[in-house]
Amino acid sequence: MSAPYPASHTLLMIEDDTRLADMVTAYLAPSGFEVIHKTHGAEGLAFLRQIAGQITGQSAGQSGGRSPTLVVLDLMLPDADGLEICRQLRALPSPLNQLPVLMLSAKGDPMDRVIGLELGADDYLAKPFEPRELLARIRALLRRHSEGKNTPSEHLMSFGSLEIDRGARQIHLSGALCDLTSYQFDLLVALAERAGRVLSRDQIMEAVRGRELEAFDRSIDVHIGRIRQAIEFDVKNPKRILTVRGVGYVFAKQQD
Amino acid sequence: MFLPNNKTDKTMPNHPVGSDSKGSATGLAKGLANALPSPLPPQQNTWQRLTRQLSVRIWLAVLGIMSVLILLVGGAYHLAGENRPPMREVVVRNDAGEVVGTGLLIRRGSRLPSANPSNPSPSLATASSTMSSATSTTSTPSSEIASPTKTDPLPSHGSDGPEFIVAMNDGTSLHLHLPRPGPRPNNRLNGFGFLTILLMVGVAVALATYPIMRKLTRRLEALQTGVEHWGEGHLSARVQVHGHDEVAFLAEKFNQAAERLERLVQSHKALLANASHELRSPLTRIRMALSMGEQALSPTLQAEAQRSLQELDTLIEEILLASRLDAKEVDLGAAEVIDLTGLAAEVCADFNANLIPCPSPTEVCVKGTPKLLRRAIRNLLENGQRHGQRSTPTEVKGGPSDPTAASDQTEDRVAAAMTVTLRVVSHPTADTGNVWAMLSVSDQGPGVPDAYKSQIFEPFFRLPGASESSGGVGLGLALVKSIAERHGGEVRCEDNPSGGAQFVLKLPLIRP
Repeated sequence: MSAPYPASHTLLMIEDDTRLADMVTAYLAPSGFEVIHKTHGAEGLAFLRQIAGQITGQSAGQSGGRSPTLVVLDLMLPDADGLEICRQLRALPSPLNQLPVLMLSAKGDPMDRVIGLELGADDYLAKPFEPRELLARIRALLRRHSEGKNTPSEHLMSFGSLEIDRGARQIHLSGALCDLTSYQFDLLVALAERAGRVLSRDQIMEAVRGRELEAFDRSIDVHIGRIRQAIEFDVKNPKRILTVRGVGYVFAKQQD
Repeated sequence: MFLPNNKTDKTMPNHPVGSDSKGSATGLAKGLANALPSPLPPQQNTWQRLTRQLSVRIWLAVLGIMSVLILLVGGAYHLAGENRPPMREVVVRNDAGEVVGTGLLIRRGSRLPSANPSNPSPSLATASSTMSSATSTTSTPSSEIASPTKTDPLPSHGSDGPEFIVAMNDGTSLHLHLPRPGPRPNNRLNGFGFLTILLMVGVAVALATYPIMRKLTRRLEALQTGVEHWGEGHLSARVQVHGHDEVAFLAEKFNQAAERLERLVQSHKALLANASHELRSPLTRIRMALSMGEQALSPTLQAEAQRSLQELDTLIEEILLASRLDAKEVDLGAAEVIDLTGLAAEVCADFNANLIPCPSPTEVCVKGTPKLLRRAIRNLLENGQRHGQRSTPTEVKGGPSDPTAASDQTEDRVAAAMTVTLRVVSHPTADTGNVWAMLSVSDQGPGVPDAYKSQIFEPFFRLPGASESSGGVGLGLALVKSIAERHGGEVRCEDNPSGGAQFVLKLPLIRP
């Protein structure tokens, strides 16, 4: 796996499962990530407060190497709820309160996800996760964070490893930029905004109206084919944009 | 007669029926409707509804006891009056005290002539006549005594009273009539009679006791309201305890039981969450290790290990989900309007199954929890993939009931042998007006024998002869059933007309 981020990033991982944390540390190391591991929420917060003290008290350069750029937070900690830690983390002095937070949870409860994201987690990953997905999400979070700290979340749609940034008009698949024409981007956004609903060709044309319409509505099929080539892992067996015979297309709500 | 049938309150339903509390406007009926929320069959009338309330019933019991008491007292009084020996003889003395004549009763006091001397007179009349007779007999016979004759039995006084024929010693014969005095002007109640007075007393007591009964049972109603509130899922709700009587004792015991149950439910939830956490932590590590040691394992082994991990993960999730569904847990995700065609298309894509959508309407929408419905469809397809294989893959139809169109569409995807068909049907039988979305998953396997068609939805049920190596623990179809029922639908197993089994998931359709 090529590492597009050779510069070392430091991650703070707050996770009570030391063995898992060790493995994550080992797994992420070749990709250029250094992991600082804390087993307790209080420890993690104390560490961050100490960093905050260094930043304010001394020059930023001195603390640069050890200052984390992302927090991986377990939802279930021995001393505190991950949600509470997340809330306290957001109350830290700037810039630490801006740290992207990736929340890990083994509960698998849909409520956790909603609450986690509402309380300021930037992303959410359910255990047992695929290590590759962890890496992809960490990269995506860091990229989003570095590109524009104020990327409003409503501009960003994410379906598994596919990310649609309506603000920047960019598509990322597993962190890699996909090449799409502007029309295809609009088409994809129109589909993604109505994910889970079957759309006829007419409805899709309606949705991207305002754009220049092509002469034949079959052209939609051609564009869909192009988009599929860009975002599907297996074009012959699409999992993101699905054809419903006789009706139209549906953008899968749950992907990967 | 006064106590309503007891069967009404034996089974107290948990949930109030809204129509009850709205219909009745009077305070009594309203209180009753609040207190007794049992669903009432339409044929039950107001009386039956009224008598369901405990306070009314206690009150009615008091009324009953009182009525019996009134009847008994009245009857006893009557009997006592009757048993007093009637006046039969008259002895007339002169001033010296010598007997100058004796007479016999010819009429007891009926207003009518002495045609029927044995005609029983009202006991009260007898009583009053005896009271007045003492004075009458001692007084000097007035002109009235002489005036009545046999042809004129009704004296001008007109009132009734005993009448005697007195044979005087001098040979003359006198008619002696002791007229009963008219109604006393200062006693209006006299005309009503003793029973009437008793009845009025009874009514007064009845009116006075009802509020007392209400007051007594209001505490029971408060207890009931609290219990119902708790039963609706507000597990932290407790009832208030006042006083030291049985009701207070009951409330206290209920609070203790509620406390214990709440703790139990909480520990159950915590256990589920912890079990999930503890089981998934090692799973995560194994998956991590597998990914890191990718080079050390052959691709086949790697795939097998990944698949096993996946199965284990699914199993954990299914067990958790099943116990949550069993516990009727409410927070399994918010319900939203779901395009069933889209959802089916997504799942079908994962299983390489054919979807035959409903031609009209193309939008088949149901209300439900996306996660649960997705799992239901996924489980049906998984089941078809596991057990519905002949040699060709399964095919999923997701659409209208046009068989020719369906076969046309499936022609070009021979690889998929599972078919998911979506249809919209309205049931003419029960629930008229209900329209259902039907999602059928057909496979080409050996099918399910009729005897097992309902059993197959039981947890951990395995068809005889089904091997365990095909994966799955037998929770899949049970989950489908739980999920369908949670969404107000059902699932059943049928024979696929073209061979194999067909599972039909029926969900109430909503108009988008």
